[in-house]
This record gives sequence, structure tokens and C-alpha cells, in this order.
Amino acid sequence: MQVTLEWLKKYVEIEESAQEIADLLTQQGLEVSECVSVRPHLQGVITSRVVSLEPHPSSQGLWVCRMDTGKEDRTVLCGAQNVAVGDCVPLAVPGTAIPGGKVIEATTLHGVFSEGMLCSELELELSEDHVGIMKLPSDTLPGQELGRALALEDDVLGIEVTPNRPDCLSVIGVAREIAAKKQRELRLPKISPEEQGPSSAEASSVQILAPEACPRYVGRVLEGVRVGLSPFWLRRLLSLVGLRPINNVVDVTNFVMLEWGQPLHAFDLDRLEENRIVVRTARHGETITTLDGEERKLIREDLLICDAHRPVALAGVMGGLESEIGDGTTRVLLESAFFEPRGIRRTGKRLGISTEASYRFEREIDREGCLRAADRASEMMTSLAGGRLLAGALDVYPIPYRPSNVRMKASKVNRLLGTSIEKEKILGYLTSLEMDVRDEEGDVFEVTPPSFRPDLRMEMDIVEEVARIYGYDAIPTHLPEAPVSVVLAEPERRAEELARDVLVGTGFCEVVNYSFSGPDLLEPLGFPDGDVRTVPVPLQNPLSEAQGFLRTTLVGLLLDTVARNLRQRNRDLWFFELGRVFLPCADQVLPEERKMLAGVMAGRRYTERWNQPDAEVDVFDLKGTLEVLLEAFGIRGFEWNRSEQVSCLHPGCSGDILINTTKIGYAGKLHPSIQEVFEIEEDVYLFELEFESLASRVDRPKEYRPYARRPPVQRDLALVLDEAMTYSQVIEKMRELADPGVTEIELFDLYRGPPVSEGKQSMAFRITYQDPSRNLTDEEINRIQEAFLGQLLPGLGAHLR
Amino acid sequence: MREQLLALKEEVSKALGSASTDQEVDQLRTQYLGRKGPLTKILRSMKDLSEEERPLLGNLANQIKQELADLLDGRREKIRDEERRRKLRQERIDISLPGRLPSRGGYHPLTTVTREIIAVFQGMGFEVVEGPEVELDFYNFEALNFPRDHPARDMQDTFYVAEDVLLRTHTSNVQIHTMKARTPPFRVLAPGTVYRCDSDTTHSPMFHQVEGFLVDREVSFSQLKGVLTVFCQTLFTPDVPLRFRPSYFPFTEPSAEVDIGCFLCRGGGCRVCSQTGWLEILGSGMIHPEVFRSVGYDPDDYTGFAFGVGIERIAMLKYGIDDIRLFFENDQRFLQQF
Ligand SMILES: [Zn+2]
Repeated sequence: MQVTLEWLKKYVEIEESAQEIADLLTQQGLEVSECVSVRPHLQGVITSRVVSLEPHPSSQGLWVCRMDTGKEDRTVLCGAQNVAVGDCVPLAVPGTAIPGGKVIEATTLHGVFSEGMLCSELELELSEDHVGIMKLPSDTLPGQELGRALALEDDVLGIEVTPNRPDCLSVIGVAREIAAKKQRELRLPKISPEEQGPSSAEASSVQILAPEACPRYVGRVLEGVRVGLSPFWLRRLLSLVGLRPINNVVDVTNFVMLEWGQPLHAFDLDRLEENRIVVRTARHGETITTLDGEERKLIREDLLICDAHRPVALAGVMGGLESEIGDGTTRVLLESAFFEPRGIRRTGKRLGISTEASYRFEREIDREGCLRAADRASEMMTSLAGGRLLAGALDVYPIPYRPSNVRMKASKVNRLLGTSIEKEKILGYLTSLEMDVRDEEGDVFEVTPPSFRPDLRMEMDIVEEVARIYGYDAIPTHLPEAPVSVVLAEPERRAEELARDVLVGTGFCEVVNYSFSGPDLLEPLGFPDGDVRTVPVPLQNPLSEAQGFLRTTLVGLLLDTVARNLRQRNRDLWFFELGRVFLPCADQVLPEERKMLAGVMAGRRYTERWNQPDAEVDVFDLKGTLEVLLEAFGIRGFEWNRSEQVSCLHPGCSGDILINTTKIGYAGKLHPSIQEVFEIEEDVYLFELEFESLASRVDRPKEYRPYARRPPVQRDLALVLDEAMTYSQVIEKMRELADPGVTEIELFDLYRGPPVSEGKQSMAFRITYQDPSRNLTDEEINRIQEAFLGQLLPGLGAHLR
Repeated sequence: MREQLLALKEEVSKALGSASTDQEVDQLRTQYLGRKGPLTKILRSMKDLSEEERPLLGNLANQIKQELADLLDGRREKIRDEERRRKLRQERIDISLPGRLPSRGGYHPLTTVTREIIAVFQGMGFEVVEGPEVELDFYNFEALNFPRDHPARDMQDTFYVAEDVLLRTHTSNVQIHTMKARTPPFRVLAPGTVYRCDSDTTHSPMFHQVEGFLVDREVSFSQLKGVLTVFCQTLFTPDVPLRFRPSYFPFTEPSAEVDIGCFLCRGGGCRVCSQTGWLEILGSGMIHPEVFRSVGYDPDDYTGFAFGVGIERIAMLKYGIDDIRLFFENDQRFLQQF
């Protein structure tokens, strides 16, 4: 909603600056988001009157004008054809720079000396009108600065009116807020339209067939109207607040809508069949062509304004093309009605139309104000467009407004706000907002809100009004009493923090991707048919196909993140995300929201530097990361089982992650063909885990295990084994056979090739012996080791290297 | 014999003068003070001396022995000292060379800001609760006093999954879930992801919020002011200017928007604060009686307040980020800054 400061001043005294008023309104809940000063640069443009007018002696179409400029007369040449003796027009004197930048000079043209230029509205950038020289009101005194004479200086305030305040979608509503805060008088315009001639009931009639949807409809009839350009001040005012001037009839309806908040519509009465109005709901399949030229298909709940036979307007939303006011219109039916807000909103939403009118109707206008607005507009129309107003309004009002009463207590107001405002003051605030307040005994009082405040229905609504006028800043600041219980972070949150801390500490960057995904990011991952991840939950109104459904995995988006970073020439990408995926559940309206933890690694483990060679990340960096991560949650020794099911991963270098035989996710090297799909030109390692399986372990009890204080003894052992033997087979056997004194077995070398014979591999282990109670002697260890080897070598089919 | 001893001393100090390593000094020690050395020989021949001479020369011999040992020790110490110095001189390196870096990880800025916000409210007794992101219309709108076909719904453009199933537009749905499941008093903080169909430099179709609410008997608007004042002062600066102004949210009344004084221009007006000198930080208000009714509470028994903060908004202000889309582009050069 845009208002101007000068316009506001017509209804309330304002001595404050525009910025001060903007601050005041913002502090009242009418947020002023924009405050624009309008100061046209018109120095040197003065008012003048045409004293005489003669055709130029030699140049056809040019006029030699003698102008009264207050002090002296000047001669000015003029090419426009709309100037007559006695007209008041703007004159730019020599030396003036008019808004377009052109400087006016005194010159001799075709033998006549011209001292200035008569200007059009367009040349002064006051409007789009360039039909001819601008005409000023006939009582304008010559010789004044034009800006002063027309009061062109103003300030435009852009106000964000919240949906609960339809009353402030009007200049008077905004003025009322200023008056209430400043305890000043609100001066409403006096409305006394002069009626002439026959009763309007003879010229037209109004019938409401849908009273629930249209509880009131006021029609006023005007005859002998001359449709034309509105006066400058009206066009100027409408332009300043963002409305395009159209003609004097339509401009008046817009002016009154902005002044009072009541949308009006003007019909050409002669284009209404049988010159009458019927308000009814649409028939299924019925259509109407609205003012914007669109044909609209209607359904039964749409409300229509019709003449005797056909729809002429989509009630409260937009007028019909065929009943529009045109240049030839002489008889006008002015509509000022109240439409049920929800119906207007449903129709507007369905058809995708929002107009100044529908915007106000769907927020609920003042039902009691319909007649007043119609009268105000009628009076202005007869004065600006001529004609006469027929006697009596056609006011059909089947469902009258019923005021609400709220009984309340001053002490309750103060308890809710934490204030101690006296009852008298409270009543004063409410009265200044035009509420009808009845003081009762003691603490109690009763309030009847005005009809233009549909938002005031219950006690809390009134409390808010008290707070607004009292001022939020004046309300004291207190803390609630401290709670008795101590709040610790919840286990789930601590688990999240732990996972993030570990991964960030390991060198990963956390990413946050959209929850939306698309086929391009899901299909290449090749989850098997029937997997719940292949049937994501689609959005009904997605922003694009690429964001068409909810993600079922974090991996597609993470790979996309990697690809995007590589395109930006970022290298060594270690990323993780902790977030939800959405899995559809049969028989349930809502999908399952599952938290997942996923990570990717691509590029180098170390960046090449002067003191360190670079090293590409490999699958064991991935595994090490998982080991550190899981160990932070108390999980030592998870299983990584080769699985054919994870089709997005390299079959030879990937698998499922299991903890105690429960599958919690998968990890491995990205499948080369998927790498290609995502246009990633280097190896990528990734994992995706169900976070719950980690989170549930964050609170596991921890217990201290004593460690041996005796010095450890280490023995190295190189085994030559069959090539097909895996590390896990070997280490399992070793652990099974090892003496209790063995505290650690570590693989420190893996070798294939000569001198180890073909088809064999060598694994070298470092075995640590340690006894908690005493030092072990060499002989003892030799004995243990011999016994160990005696069983191990045949068990593995191995020999010592 | 006296001459012999003195000559020995002379000889050793001369020999030491040309010794330049530890080993050479040790060699001299063995040579002169060892079992087969000249000093031992002299000491052994002591028994051939007369009773009067023996103690005198004995003292002298011991004295010389001590002096020789000191000379040798001194020399060795000097050599070692020189060796150390030489090493220190040699080991001088250019410490302006870059260090050996581990891979550089980082928390997403939204995580960092969420953590900070949670920490402040935890200190005031709030616990963290999460709720679903795909939600029924009832929890996201209806129960929060957003009636159907009401313009208030325009304030939040909604993604739909099915009829009456939507992506939550705020984390206020947690209010309804919590109130239905528990009995006051409680103080709850609900961080999470929310969605609105909107996309430009200041709007993202997905963003993050922290919603907080406190329900008890006799909760007042001035307490709302108190809690939010502490929050802003902790998250920003203790002297940050604050402004509470009336606003409208369907699920609170009275409703208040909270602004902090713009810390970039110190209130003078700049691009970030749209020349107003104020930055909108929070939406808040007393929980609307209709919300209490929708969860079966009697609004005469309980009162409460609720507030919501946009995480991206705070992060953008704190770190001077001017485009909300940067949070979701996940460029490494962005992520490694936090
Ligand atoms: Zn600023």
C-alpha cells in the first residue's frame, strides 16, 4: 500500500517529517519499507496566462503568444494547437533546464523573438500526457513557481500492510493510526452528494441471489456523465501511489478505493441488459471475458455480477470486458459491495488473478462503509465528469453487520503484557482507535470494535491494540524464572556434533545440499528395482524437474557437488553431509524421514608441496576414515563385505558396512561408468551410513581397561602365502591361534614379486608380546612363537620367508 | 719427581691444545691418566720415596692428577660446546617456508550458527526437539491458526507433496507436536530445515530456522522481551540496540518483529539494512489462544511465547555473505572459510 504524506495531511494534522511518520508507522506495526521524496526539478518554470494569440506571420502552425507572467508580458512561440486566450499554462523562462535536460533559450525564430517555452506535462515529466500544452486550473495566479502552485512536492511511503489489517489498505486507515498514536483529531471528508431527477430505482435494480456470498450490494446511478481525462491533481496523485490514470470515472473509483479501502466498480448502465444487476453464483461451465481480455472458465462456487442474462463481472475480482466504461458512456451504475472474503480468495487463486479489489475483499472490507464510499464517489464524479446523480441508492443488505462485544479486565491486560497501565489509559487508547468502550465496575470493561476492524474479535486482539498504542518499547523487560532442571544436549544432537567433529577434524568439509533431487542424480546410481530409493516422493509444484522430488539418498547430490567443484577447478575434495532422506512408506501419508551420513573423497591425501610429495587418495583412506568415525562411536572392527547390490560402486573395491551382522550402509570406490555420467575425471571414494545406527551408540557406557605396564617385546614375522588369501583370513587365523600374551598384530608390509614365487604373496607382521605382571624373557617368547608358528603355518598353508 | 710431574702437566696441556674431537680427548685421558699411563707410573714409584718426601709429593701428585682431569674435562666440554654451536649454526632453516598441512576440513556455516543459537538458549533452559519436514496441513497451518482460504497463507508459499501433505514452511509444526504430547511447563527449541517456493538472492526454496517456545502459567510479553534481549545481546554484542515492533503472525498475538541496530553502519543507514539502520532478526509473539485451543489447552490456564530465527539470515549478517545461494552451492573455497 502506497500513500503520500500530503494526502495523509488531508485527514490528520502532521507536522512531522516523512521519515518521522515512517518510523511512527513502523513502530505501530505498519512497516514502512520505502520512503521516497518526490521533488520535481522545475526551477524556472512559472505559471502564466495567455493574453493574446496570433498565427505566426510566415510559419504555418506556429502561434505567437503574448503571456502574462505576473510582472511583465513575454512573447513566446508555440507549436501546440490546444492553447486559447485566457488559458493558464506553465512557461519555462530562458535559462531554465527542463527535466529532460534541455536548456530553454531566448531565440529568434522565423523573424519572431521568443522568450521561453510553453510546456506539456510530458516535457515536465509530470505525466505521460503529451497531447498538448499542460492546462492549469483557471484561477491560477500568473508568475508563481509551478512546483509551489501545484503543490508538487510530496513524499511517497510504501507500507507493508499485514493480512490482519485490511483497514490500513486505505489512506484514511493509515491516517487513523497516526491520529491515535499522536492523540490528534481524524478529519474525515464531508460527503453530501447532490441528488437530482428521478429515483435510481426507475433506472435500474439490484437483486442478490447469493446473500451468503454477497451480504451487501449498493448501487448508485449517474446520468449525463462525460467520460474524459481526469484533472491533473487526480492523475498525479494516482500515479504517485502506483495506479495508472484511465479516465475520470475509473480514476474516481480508484481514488475512493484508496481513500476508504472500499473497491468500487463502474458499469456502463446502457450495456447491461435490462439495465439491471443480478448477483448469483456461476453455473458450471459458464465463462466470462474479463477486462484483461482473457476468457475465464467458471465453476459453481465463483460469484458473478450479472445483468438480466449474462455475467458482466467476476464479483470482487475483475470487471467484464463488455460492460466496461468507454468514451461513449453516459449512464453509469456504480457498484459498492461487500463480498465474502474466502469465496473471493478461492476464485482469485484458482484463476490466478490478484487485483487491487480482490486483495482488499479477501482481507475483508468494511460492510458498514459501502454506502458512504458510493456516495463519496458519486459526488466526485458529478463534479469531475458532470451529469447528475439519481435519487436514492439501490442498497440491498440481506445480512447486516453484527458487531462483536468483548468483556475484559484491565488487570488481565497488564498480566499478559507484564505492565501496569491504568485502566483509564487503556480505555483512552481503545477509544482513540474508534472502539466503543463501556467502563464497568472495578477492573472490568466492555469493548465493541468498529466495523472496519474484522481482526478484533477476542480479548487477545484487544490486548494487542493496547500494546501497540502503549508502545512495545515501553513494555518492561523481564526474564522468566530460571528453570530448576538442567538441560543437557539431547543424545541425538550430541551424536550429530560428534560425527561432525570427527569428520571435520579428519579433514572433511561439511556440505548442505537441497532436499530436492531429480532423475539425473538418482537414476545413474542404479539402485535395484524394488529398492525403496528408486521411488522418491514427488513434489506437486516443483521449481524444476531437476528438483522434482525429495532425495532418497545423499550420494547423487554429493557427487554433483564434487563435479561442480571440479568444474571450478577446486581439487582434493573431501566432503560429507549429515541430512535427511525421504523414503515412501506403503499405507502411510507421510514418508519416512531417515538421517543419513555420507562422505566423498576425491583427489589427493596431501597436496604436493616443497616438503611433501602428493599422494592420491585410495580406498584405504576411505576405510581409515570410517574406522576413525566408527571408533568415535565405540565401534571397533566393523565388517566390510563385498556386495553386488551397491551398483553405483566399483564391484572389486566396495561393499556393505556391517556392525554385528546388521547392515548400516555401504562404501567403496565409485563405479567408473557412473564417474563418467557425472563427468568426474578422477577416482571418487564414498560412503553412506544410516546415522541412527551410530547415534544410538553415543551414550554407551565407557569402562577403563587396565593396560600392561611392562615393556613390550616385538617380533617380526614374514609369511609367504597363497595370493588368493585375504588379509582378513590371515589375521583371523592369527588372532585365533595367538597366545594371550600377544597384545597387537600389525601388518607392516605386503609384497608380491620376486624373490617371492609366482602366485604367492608375502605379508609381514609385527607381533607385540606383553604380560601385565612380569617381564617376558627371550626364551619364553621364542617358545611361544614356535608353538604359534607350528599351528599357524600348516593352518594357512604358509611358510616363512 | 716434582719436575716429572710438572713436565707431565705441561705436556698434557700442550697435547690438548691440538685435540679437536671428543675421541682425541678420551685418547689423551687414557694415555696419561690410564693404568699404563705416566701418572700411574709416577704414583707407583711413590713407595720408593722417603717418609718425609712421600706426603709432600703425594699431595702434589694428587693435585696434578686432579688438574689434569680438569684440563681434560674442560677441553672436552669446550669441544662439545663448539660442536653444539656448530650444529645450531648449521641447522638454521628458513622458517618462513610454508608448513606441512593436513587436509583442511570445516563446518558448514549454517551448522556453526545453529550451534551458537542453541548454546544461548540451552543456557536459558531450552531443550532441542526435532520434527518432520514433510508434514500434514494440520500441523503446519490449521492448528497454527492459518485458516484455509486465508490471505495469511500467502505469507508462506508452500510446496505440496499431496493434498494436505506439504513441506513444512516453518519449524513451528514442532509447537503443535510438542504441545499435543506434553503438559506444560516446557521450553523447547526446534531447529530444522524448512521450505518455501521462492528463489532469488535473498530467498532460497530451502532454508533453516530455529523456532523456540515457552509455555507455562502466567507468561508475559515482558518475559518474551527479556529472553529475546538476552539472546540478541549474547549472539551479537552486549550493547546491541534492540527494537520490538508490532507485526502479524497468525499463531501469535500480540506479535512482535525484533530488529537489532545495524552493526555495519551503526544505525546510519546502509545497503544491508536498506537505509533504515535496523536489521530484522526475529519474529515472535505470545502464543495465540486459538493455537492452545487446537491442542486442547485452555488459554485461561496457560500462556506462552514463541519466536523464530532464520539461520541463513543470521549467518549472512555475521559473515557478510550477500547471496543466500552460496550456502547450497557448496564450493570448497566457500566451505573452507568456516
Ligand atoms: Zn546499515
